[in-house]
Amino acid sequence: MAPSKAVPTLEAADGYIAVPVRFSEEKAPHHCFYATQEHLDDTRPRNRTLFVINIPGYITEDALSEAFSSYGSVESVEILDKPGCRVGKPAKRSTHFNQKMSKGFKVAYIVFKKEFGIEKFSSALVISKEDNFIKAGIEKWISDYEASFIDVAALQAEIDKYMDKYDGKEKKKEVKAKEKEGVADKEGWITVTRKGRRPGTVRTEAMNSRLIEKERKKRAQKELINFYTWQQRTKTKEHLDELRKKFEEDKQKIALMRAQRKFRPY
Amino acid sequence: MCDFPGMKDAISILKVWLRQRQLDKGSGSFSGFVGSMLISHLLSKNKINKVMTAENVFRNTLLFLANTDWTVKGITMSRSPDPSLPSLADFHQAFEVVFVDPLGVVNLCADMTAATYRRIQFEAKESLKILSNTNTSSFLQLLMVPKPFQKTFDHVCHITELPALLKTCKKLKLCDELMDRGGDYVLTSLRYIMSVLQKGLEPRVVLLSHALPQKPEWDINQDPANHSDADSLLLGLMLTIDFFTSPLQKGPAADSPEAVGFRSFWGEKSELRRFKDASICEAVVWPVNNIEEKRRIPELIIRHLLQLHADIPDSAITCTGNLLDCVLNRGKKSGTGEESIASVIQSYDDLSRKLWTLADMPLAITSVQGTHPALRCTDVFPPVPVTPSFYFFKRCESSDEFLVPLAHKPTPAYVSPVRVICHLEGSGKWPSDKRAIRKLKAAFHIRLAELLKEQHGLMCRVTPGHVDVYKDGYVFRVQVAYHREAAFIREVIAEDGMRMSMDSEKAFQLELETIHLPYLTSTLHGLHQRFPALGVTSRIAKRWISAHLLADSISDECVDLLVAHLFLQPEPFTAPSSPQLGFFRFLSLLVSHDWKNSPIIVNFNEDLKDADITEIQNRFTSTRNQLPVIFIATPKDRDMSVWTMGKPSAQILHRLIILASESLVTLEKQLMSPSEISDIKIIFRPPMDVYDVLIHLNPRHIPRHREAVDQPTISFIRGIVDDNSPKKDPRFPVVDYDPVQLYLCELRACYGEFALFFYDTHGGEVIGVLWNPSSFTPQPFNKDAVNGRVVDTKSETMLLVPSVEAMLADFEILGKGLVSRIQCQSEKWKI
Repeated sequence: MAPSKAVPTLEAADGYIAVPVRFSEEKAPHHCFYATQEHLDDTRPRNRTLFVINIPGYITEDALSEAFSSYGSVESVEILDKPGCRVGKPAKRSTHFNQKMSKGFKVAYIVFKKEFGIEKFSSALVISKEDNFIKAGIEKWISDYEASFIDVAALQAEIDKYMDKYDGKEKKKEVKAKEKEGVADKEGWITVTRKGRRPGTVRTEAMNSRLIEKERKKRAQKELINFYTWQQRTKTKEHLDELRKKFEEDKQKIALMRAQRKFRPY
Repeated sequence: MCDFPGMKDAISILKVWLRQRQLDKGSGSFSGFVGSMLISHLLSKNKINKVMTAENVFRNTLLFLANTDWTVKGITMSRSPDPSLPSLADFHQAFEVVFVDPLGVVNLCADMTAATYRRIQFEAKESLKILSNTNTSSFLQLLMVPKPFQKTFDHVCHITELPALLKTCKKLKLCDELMDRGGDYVLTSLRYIMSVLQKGLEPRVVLLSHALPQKPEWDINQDPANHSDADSLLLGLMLTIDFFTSPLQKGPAADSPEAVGFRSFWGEKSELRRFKDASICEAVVWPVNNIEEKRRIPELIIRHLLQLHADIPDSAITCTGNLLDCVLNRGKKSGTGEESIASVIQSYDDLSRKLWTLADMPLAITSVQGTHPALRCTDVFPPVPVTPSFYFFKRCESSDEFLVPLAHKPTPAYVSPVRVICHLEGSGKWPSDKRAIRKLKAAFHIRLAELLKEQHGLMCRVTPGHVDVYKDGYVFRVQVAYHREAAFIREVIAEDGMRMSMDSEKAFQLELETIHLPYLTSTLHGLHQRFPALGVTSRIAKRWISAHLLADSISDECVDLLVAHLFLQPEPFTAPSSPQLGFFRFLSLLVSHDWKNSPIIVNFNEDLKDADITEIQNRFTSTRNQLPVIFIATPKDRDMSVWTMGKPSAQILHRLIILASESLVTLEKQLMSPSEISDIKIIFRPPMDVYDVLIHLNPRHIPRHREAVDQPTISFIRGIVDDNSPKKDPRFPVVDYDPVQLYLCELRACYGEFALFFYDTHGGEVIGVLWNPSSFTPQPFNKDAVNGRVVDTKSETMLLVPSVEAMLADFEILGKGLVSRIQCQSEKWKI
């Protein structure tokens, strides 16, 4: 491969080996992929799969498949943002929402047709810099721009479908809630819902703190102050502490003001 | 004196006050001696008494200065009834300002011109206002902040070639007076020049004054400096807030007796005009086309009057009031773009009216608010209407209406979408789930596009997040908002079934966009109506920041707020009327403000009361460490400072301050010595040697190339048809497509942890890269954090270090077609 100086395969930590990558025969090694056959899950054939990390975002699956084919014919290449198990079908994701593509470095699973051993790597990997292998620059941005045009009808259909489903779910919830209304469970508790004859309020944090506050006030009203001697004693003590604290704070404030004083007469 | 310590202190305070205003030195000054005499005069008149404190004496002195006019009714300290002494009227005939000494024969203000006296009076009035304002620290502003001449006046004019003034004296027949002053023609002609200008500029200026001519000190062995050695005479204009740009000045009716005087005063500029109320009057009209030229009217008047009445040639006058306007010129178009802002706003108003009256919307629109900087008049280069030329683009495959850029052509001109937020009414039908809300919003976008097309024939492009509307050559990006969405995003259901609110970045962003930004935009737009110089000041400030490649490191809104602060709290100055002065004060605010210890409070509409301000200040001091480096409080945002939260960082602020102080020095030098104005744009050229790597870009793909500070002599044709006549078959232009921004975005996403990237958004040709030293420390191997690092072969322990060669190669690959070359400037990264 590299005629002048063979780049030795490097052992890296944690069961990974380093695979230097170069963009053409002449150029010096560029990036370094790290490949391993450990840490794999069962969704892919263990002995035929190679897990590669540190892949720059602009490298396409075709390019990887081409590059690795010199070590044996490649069955499939998957580039992912994060290591993950293979899903049966490509995930049924919304075509119009959640399209956040992560940029940066990716990981790849390469499945070979035949059994593959990691020790095979002996020299740098060569990725030819031909146009169809790298997705970057002006052409990528133009194609991204073109891809941002959407089919309005398809979007509408997707929304309709989602909203139908959502409405169905909500309705089901409502029906369920209605069924439960006023019916005690095994231990005799009754679930209060927002609908029904005596609707309850939603339990939110704000509501909760408001209730606690109300309770506290009620208790404070009932409490007798200045009744026992110790109450008065603690009160004076608290008052004194307060004053002392304020005094300290003011002293600090004055010190700060003095420090930042801008008065520089000539 | 001995039993009145207040007086002694008050005299010192008065002297400091005069010194800070540069009024106590030079010929015709209000020197400390005159000040002391004034206070003793007040004592003798029982205006002050011996029990007063220094502060009271000082305040009474200012009050007296503000309320008496020594040019009309002078004061005298003489009590002698001797009729042989000259009377006050005699003094008034000989002098402009009259303050007679106890002997009754000497005028202490003999040299003072009326203009200087008016300036003192003006300062006294302003200072009284500050003294009576309780929530500002008046001591600091009155006595500790220097008010140099060039920072006080909106417009500064230099008269160079002073020997020309000798001719003036001859023309005005001032030979006797010249003799009185020992041949000092500068001082002799000064008061006449000032009176002519005062008359000509009357309705346009609040105050017209001149700097006091200084006599330099000389060595004992040398001859004293002559009056002809001074190099220039400085005139300063403080302009009225709005009238100074009016091109027309109406004079007396043609048949009235004053018309003759008017005509002879203005010379051939005066002409007869018929006005709308059918009166025929003398009038002076200045030939101006746009607002940039309108701002130059005072300069035109000065030149014209001095030429006409004082024989001072054009070449001897240098006006430095509008030098910075040139950085806002774009391409070959002249003007600073206020007209384009006006037309964007007009088009936006029309769109919002259409949105309001849209029939058949499922939910009613409750508010339409713009958020684009052009709608608050602070966009550096406001959008211009575009009509794309078809041959330059490719048609979009899915729909024929839309255009897509071609790779082999230069990048089309940048079209900035004008963002508009449309709030819909609340209704029980809105779902209470964040995902469902998003879907529903997308559905509303589709509906909005359909209705706009149906009812108003507007071309629209729908995406799930917004609708782009192509109208009058502008592209408006309309976004539907629902006021409870942020609350739903924050909502988390805890284990015990309680609904809790959790802080989330997404909800915060949403609130910024749909609540804070519309509010800020409308408030600033309102403020701009009050202070027309605000918009341009902010634009120059942003241009300056962008020119120093820091535009991405500090938010636009933060700059807008700082500039608004300059206008709302100008003390001890007055709010600037010229953009250049505004920018000057912006730089000095950056330099002199104590960012660490004091908050900036922008009190829009005086919504914050004194108690609120104290509360904000107290909270600021107690929680300083958790707050951003620049803290700006507004009535709607009292303790978060939402616009400065993420950026700028402390380092960026530090750099900004250094740059501002350098620029300030340079700018001041250029403004004060007209001979040195070689190139005003020098403060807009950034030093490039601080960056580790420079990425040079190919101008072909910089869509805003023409906005550069030093405009390229040739640039590329970018697919825009010049004439804006409506076409039969319009196509939707390419919107918001700037390859450089996309490139920067990718660079920051991939290599943000190793380096910082700096770029001038407005037509920069270079991206500056600065390595982040902390990311270069070797790390142990971790499969989730390799991100472009390599294992260091030299070390035993297999540590990861960033691979600079790989990164440099990647910079080139990521910007394929855009990057022309990469230049390494330092070897810092070699460990």
